[in-house]
Amino acid sequence: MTATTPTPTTLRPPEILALTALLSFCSIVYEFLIARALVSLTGEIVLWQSLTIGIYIAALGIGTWLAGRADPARRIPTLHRVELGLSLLGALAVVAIFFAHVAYRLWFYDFAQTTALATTGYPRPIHDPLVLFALACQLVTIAVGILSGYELPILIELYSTRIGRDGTDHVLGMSYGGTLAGSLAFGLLLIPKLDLLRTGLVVAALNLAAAAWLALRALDRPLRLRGTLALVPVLAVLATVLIFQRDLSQLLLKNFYYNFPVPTSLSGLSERLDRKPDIHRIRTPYQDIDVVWDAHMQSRPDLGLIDLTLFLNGHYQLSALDERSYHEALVHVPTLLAGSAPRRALVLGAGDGLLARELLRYGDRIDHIVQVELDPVMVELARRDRWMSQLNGGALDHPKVEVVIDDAFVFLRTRPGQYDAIYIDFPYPYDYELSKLYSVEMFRAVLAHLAPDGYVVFDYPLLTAANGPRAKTRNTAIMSTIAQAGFGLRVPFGDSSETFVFAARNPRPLAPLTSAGVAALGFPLETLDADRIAELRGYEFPYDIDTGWVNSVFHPRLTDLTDPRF
Amino acid sequence: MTAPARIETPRVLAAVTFVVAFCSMVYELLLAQTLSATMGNTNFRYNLTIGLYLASLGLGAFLFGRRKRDDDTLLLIDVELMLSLVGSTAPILVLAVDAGAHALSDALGVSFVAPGVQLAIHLANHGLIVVIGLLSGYELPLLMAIGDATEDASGHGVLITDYVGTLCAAIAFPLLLLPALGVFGVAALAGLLNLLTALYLQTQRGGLERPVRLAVTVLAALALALCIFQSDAVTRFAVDTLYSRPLQ
Repeated sequence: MTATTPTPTTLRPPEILALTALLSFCSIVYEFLIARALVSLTGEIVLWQSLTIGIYIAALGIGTWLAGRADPARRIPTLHRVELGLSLLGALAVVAIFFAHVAYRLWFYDFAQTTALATTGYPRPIHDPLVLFALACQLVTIAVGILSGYELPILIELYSTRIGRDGTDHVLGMSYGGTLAGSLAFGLLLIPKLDLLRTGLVVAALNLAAAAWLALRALDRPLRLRGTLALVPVLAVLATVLIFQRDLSQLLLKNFYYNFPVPTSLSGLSERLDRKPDIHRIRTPYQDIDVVWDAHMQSRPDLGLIDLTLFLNGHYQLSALDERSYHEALVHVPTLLAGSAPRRALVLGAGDGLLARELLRYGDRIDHIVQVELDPVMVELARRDRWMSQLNGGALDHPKVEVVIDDAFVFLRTRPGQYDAIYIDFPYPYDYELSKLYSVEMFRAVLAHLAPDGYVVFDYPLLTAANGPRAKTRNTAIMSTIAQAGFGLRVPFGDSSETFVFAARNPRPLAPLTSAGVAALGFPLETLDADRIAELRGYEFPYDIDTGWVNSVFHPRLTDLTDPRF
Repeated sequence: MTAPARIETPRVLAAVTFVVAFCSMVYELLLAQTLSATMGNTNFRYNLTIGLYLASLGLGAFLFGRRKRDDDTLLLIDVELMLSLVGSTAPILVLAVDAGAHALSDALGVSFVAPGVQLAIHLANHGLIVVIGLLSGYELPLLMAIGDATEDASGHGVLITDYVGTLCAAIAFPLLLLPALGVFGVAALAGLLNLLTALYLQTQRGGLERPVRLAVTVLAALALALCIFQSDAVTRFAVDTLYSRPLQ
């Protein structure tokens, strides 16, 4: 390609191709790692997945361009340095992003809070500039992208000069192969088995091995000793992170869950978090399940109070302290409205078994409960964990409960069966992926499984008029979607803490919600007292029916709850 | 290499590369979205789609090394046309495969979840991903070869533009395109972009030599433009006829 004809490298062609596959593998895994880290900190999947891949690919382009301007005589030393740099970045990227987040929060709660108190009189700043923090973290993506961008042009030129003709297609092909292996390995192997930190270490070690390979096999003799010695400090960094990785993981997890609204200084932080019990993180192919002990600092084991909180992918799922209030409203209010308990019930999501526990209280009045849960690990946790099984009373092992491990959507579309009541307990539509669970297609499939007099209940973050004009928009989107799916009866209900939608095929008169009705259930409810019933009856959720807001898998409208329109 | 290289200015080459990369990434994201609607398990679906796509890109690059024809521009036009055809119809085809498999399993009296039925569905759906990946993978080295043949040898420029096109697709798809047009509208838009590129290349090069192909391209472009403006109607039609099968 250039006028000068560089001397062919000592690396054999298959070695160059193998190196290509290895480096492409590492490169794509770094990108996934950074994206995942940012998603876990911000909770916004689509935004940070797409921005990270975008910035990464653009940085690759810059690296490619820079490589084209580099001195062709120094290709091997350049590649060697690139690999050392990537190895260092790989070992430190996740640690750096998480510690930057710790520092950001300390600054935010200390400095920003003081400023807010002085200017507005309120201790909480109105706007959290987390998006700026996440954008700043993209500097790591840019560094990884630029360094990775150097690799391909260098490898193409090495290979082409070695085989004496244009070998672009071979090298590109190997690069794609490595990228494929990286993307499959990340989702199917690395993340289910290792955490972000350890995945980074594994890939950093691969990059270091590539650097060692280059140093020993390809560097010219005068450079070889220096190139080999340069491996040592990088190896020392990797070893340090490896030795402290468990402590680091716990520190970061604890900071995420325990440090929340309490401002503290960096020096006091470590000591404060050391006193807290460890956080139990379970990685599954579907999600990170975090079991957090005493997040509210209200545990009183002496009084039988369990302060256990469950988070899925960092999103709050349930707390042992207030789950009764949620499940009693979700299960028993619909029974009171409909006038009788369901004989056959279908529960979608809620693999924690608490909804099934509440349904089993109907005793002889209920015949069969089908519980569909995507994540088998969640079901195992509900059955085996000491605290979880104490909370759900072993409901998932009850003979009337049939547990099906399946995607709820696929279950509804492929299995026959009619139910008197269908309970949906999915995560809120925090992002575009989860909004599919609240699509017109989903609700049509649900309707197809309802008995003629059957009903469906699901929890949804509805808003009251007191929440301002966005309340109507948010409520309209979900209510229009179920109307489009064919639900003629649509009743939003809720109180200050929980909100739900009750729906059935045809309009019909509903029983009023009264204390007498609760008493007639035949078992005591802890949370559904006269005050709460008055609150439930008093809350109203404004909405319109507007086909322009129907949420479809093929045309999502719910996007995420941080959308200002919601 | 006998054909005169009239159209291959770096600017045109960059535009073509951008469109190809942009559209191919969009097609794959659309397929991931549609497949998660018919097959479920969204996370895994996205993983598998992107992985298969990248692998078929590599396979396409290998196949390019064995090509017979030497008029790269005519070859490029044909690849654009095929990509447009497969890409813009892929989401509908996925729904048709799903509806067809349901109808077939009912007619044969076998369960929809029977291994044979599921195998056929998987082969058909993932075949679409592979075809789009193969065509895009074939196109990149083709464009690089055309780029290297220009006076200023802009082969590297092609690679960079390809990255930028993919970046723009990855950002625009979830934030802009899907919320505005829905799956079927976005598919029509990407198909139209591919067709317009092919049309431009045809008018510059092979158009008068191949009038039927030119006419078909124009008609298809008009049809896709109509689908973009009527994306809601197309969505309703597709969902009502192919997706909302009554369950019992």
